[in-house]
Amino acid sequence: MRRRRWRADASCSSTRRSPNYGETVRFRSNGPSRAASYGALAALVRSIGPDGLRLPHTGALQYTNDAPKIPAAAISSEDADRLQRMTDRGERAVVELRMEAHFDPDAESANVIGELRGRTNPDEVVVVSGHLDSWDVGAGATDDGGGCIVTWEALRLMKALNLRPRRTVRVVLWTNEENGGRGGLAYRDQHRAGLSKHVMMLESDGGVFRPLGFGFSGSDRARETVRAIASLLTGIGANQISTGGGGADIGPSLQEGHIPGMSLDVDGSK
Amino acid sequence: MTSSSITPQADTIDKIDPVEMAKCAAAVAVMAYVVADLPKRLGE
Repeated sequence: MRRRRWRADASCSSTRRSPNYGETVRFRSNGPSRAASYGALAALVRSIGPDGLRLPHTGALQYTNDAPKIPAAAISSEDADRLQRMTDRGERAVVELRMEAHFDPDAESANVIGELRGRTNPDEVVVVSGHLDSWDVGAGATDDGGGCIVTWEALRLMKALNLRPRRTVRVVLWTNEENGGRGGLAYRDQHRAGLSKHVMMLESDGGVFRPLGFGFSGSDRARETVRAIASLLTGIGANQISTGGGGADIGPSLQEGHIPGMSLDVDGSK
Repeated sequence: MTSSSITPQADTIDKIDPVEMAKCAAAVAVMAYVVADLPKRLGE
């Protein structure tokens, strides 16, 4: 464990609250390098999310090569608001930062893959997936233990019901989603020759709360089929098909193989 | 992960409702099974 300490005046450029994760997350991913280019010693990043009992929401950042790689840490919305109020009042805010975070050397890891082989077209594959690794704020139950469980369970249900579809259904539990996505990249590279045989890839990485349906990316013709299939799920209210299906781990394969992509949509209001 | 008194434990199993999770599994199973069992490949 390495401990490092910094103490410095804090200046504040709060992102304030935004309902749009996609637009706001760049303050976390790119902010530290931008701040460093203006001479910052460290960056505290407001949590990208709602107020949460003073819990910080953390995630990846990308350093650029043209600025010092300064320490960066997430702080809760409440603490960010406090710093903002102090700054607005003209008070001098001094922050002492102690961090233990560091990168360890790369270690070998692996995706976990299981299959129910297809009855008549076993070389054609439908992938369902979640990622096994997690961030440090807990056990990784929602991000993404639940995704692993429900996609694994989907295959177990088929097997238990003695259902074997025409094509192969493969569950992939990805490694290294949070720290660079190298499980997804390795899958794309190792299965490059077979990507054209991938019929559809699904990733569940948005929680396993009340299901609403699926996100879908692909042709209009395929979308109509998927919409018809989802109507079978009207009874549990999971029949919506929204635009933009995909996921961080299946993304590299979808892009290279022009494969239809899906995500599980859930009620994320919890 | 090194445990620390200041590391909040937010992403924990108590947030997951078993019935909701079972419905998610059912939804994934139905979608994956039918797509894998279509007479013609999805999109064709």
